[in-house]
Amino acid sequence: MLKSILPKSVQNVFIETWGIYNFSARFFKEVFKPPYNLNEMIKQFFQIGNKSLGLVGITGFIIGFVLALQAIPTLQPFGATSLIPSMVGLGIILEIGPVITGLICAGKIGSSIGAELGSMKVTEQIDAMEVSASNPFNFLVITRVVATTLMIPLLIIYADVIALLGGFLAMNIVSDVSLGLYFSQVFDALDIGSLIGPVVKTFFFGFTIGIVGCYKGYNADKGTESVGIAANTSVVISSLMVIIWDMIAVQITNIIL
Amino acid sequence: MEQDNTVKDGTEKTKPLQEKPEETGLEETGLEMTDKKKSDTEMTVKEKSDKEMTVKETTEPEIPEEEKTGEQSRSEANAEIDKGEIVVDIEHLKKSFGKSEILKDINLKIKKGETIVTLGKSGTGKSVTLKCIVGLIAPDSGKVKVLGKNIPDLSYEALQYMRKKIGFVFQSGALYDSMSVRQNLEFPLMRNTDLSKEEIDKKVEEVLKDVGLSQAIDKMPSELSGGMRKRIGVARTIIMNPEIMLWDEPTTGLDPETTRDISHLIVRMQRKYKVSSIVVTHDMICAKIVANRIVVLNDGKYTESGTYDELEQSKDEFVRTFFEEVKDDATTRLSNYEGDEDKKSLKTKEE
Ligand SMILES: Nc1ncnc2c1ncn2[C@@H]1O[C@H](COP(=O)(O)OP(=O)(O)OP(=O)(O)O)[C@@H](O)[C@H]1O
Ligand SMILES: [Mg+2]
Repeated sequence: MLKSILPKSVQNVFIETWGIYNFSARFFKEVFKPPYNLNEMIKQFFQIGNKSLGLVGITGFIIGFVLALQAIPTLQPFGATSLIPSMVGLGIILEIGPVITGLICAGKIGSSIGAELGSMKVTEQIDAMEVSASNPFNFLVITRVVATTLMIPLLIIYADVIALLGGFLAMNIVSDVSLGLYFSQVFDALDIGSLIGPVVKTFFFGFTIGIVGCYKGYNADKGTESVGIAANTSVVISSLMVIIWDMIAVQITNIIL
Repeated sequence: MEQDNTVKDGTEKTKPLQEKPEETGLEETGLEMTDKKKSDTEMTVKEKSDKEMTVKETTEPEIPEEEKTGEQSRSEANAEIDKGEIVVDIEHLKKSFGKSEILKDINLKIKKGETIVTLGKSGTGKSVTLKCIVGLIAPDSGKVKVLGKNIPDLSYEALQYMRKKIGFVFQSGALYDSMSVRQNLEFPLMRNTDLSKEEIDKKVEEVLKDVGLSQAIDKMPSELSGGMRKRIGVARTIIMNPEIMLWDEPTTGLDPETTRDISHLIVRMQRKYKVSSIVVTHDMICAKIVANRIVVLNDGKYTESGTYDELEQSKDEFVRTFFEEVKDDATTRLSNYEGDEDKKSLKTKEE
């Protein structure tokens, strides 16, 4: 009945959400069950972490640099350039660093997981693992999701640090602050309590990017074009989810603090 | 021969319950003993030929000999199989995708040690049938009993346990792209057995020899030809010593010699380990070598069933097309073609 009222696209959103929910439920049910596939896990850590360092680093640097540079003309007339470190620090660590890095990871890592598992599905490799009783979910999905959940927060911290350095460089153009003073000003503006939210949400970002990529790839249809579709939809859904998580995280921290 | 015993030993560690009675069963019947001996001599001939293959020598004397033993023991073997227990029992299996009804009413019983060949046009659901047996596709209705258990009713764990006894050779080979040939072959063993590294290495070398690809051990799948991939796919399946083998077009796209090699491999596994097989193929050479019984899938049902010789005499139009293909060498194809041309020219004349 509901089916006839709702348009197809809305129905699809519900179906997709339900699918991802079930997929995540299976993940939590199986994540602590052996075998643990340490080798594959390490390989995935490397794939996800090491191979994104360059991209995440460059973006982080530019963001920090530009953010500080943009702030200078606004604050300089008031003689408030000394506020720039704390402003840049707050902006980057609480919001911009996690979200931008999350979005970049959704693009880079989400799509590559979606495409990889998608092509394994299309070429029946996942079925082959399934019929040889090798539990492909355990081997492919759990390793990747654990890797993204742990690595993406690390990547985000790394991006934050580089962004702060970028901000420092921009500051140095107008005034000469020492690196020590710059960082002490940055950390003065932050208290430990305010860091919890931004840190916790990065794990959600990581988990979401991994699980959505795996879900789309693992459930890809037959045919080569479905590999592209799997990669594409993983990026779309996980980017959207990153933004949604971010909004939820901000709401929750506002209520708690 | 020695090596084959070690295969047996290897699996005994992992599934001691089911393997042992089988082995004693082998020794009890005199017929099986002779059969076993025969296949052993075949084995040594085969091994020799493997070595020779690297020097690029033809293995011609071996093939007709093997075929002969196949012919002679066929009726005896069939009598033996008839007594065996039923390992796969499919009843009223139905499956549709969307609006198209692919399988309408599939009924099939396979006895222990029996090899069934399925013929049928492309897209009639032969692969779907195999996938229902191994639980990759859930049937809409009907029973698919394997070793007494109905596959659609099983829990995931029980299904996994059952799948260790079933080998599935994929039509596409389905090699793991990101792993080397060695890793591909090791993968099922590493995940399902607790064999030592040496034992695994030994098994890997053994199955590679069985499919004649020892030299490819450290290649990546992308470096292999289509036929080689297919053979590695076969190797990866037989390495687990399954009781039931499902072969989805194991010889399609292979040259006649490799086709014979793979077909004889199927026969060897049947003789040696009493493996029951379903072989989906369009290849009548393979069908002739391996089949105890042939079933023909047409319009969602098995329409014909019988031995190769029986079906060869069949008057059914559809069945005939398969057998005609065998005789259909270049000259007949050419004459058909000319016939078509004639019709065309007639038509143009009429116009
Ligand atoms: N997962 C699926 N979803 C939808 N349709 C499917 C699926 N698998 C198979 N089909 C359809 O079922 C039909 C039978 O497919 P199947 O692969 O069993 O053919 P086949 O008999 O093995 O043919 P071939 O000899 O070409 O391999 C095809 O029309 C195919 O489109
Ligand atoms: Mg098929």
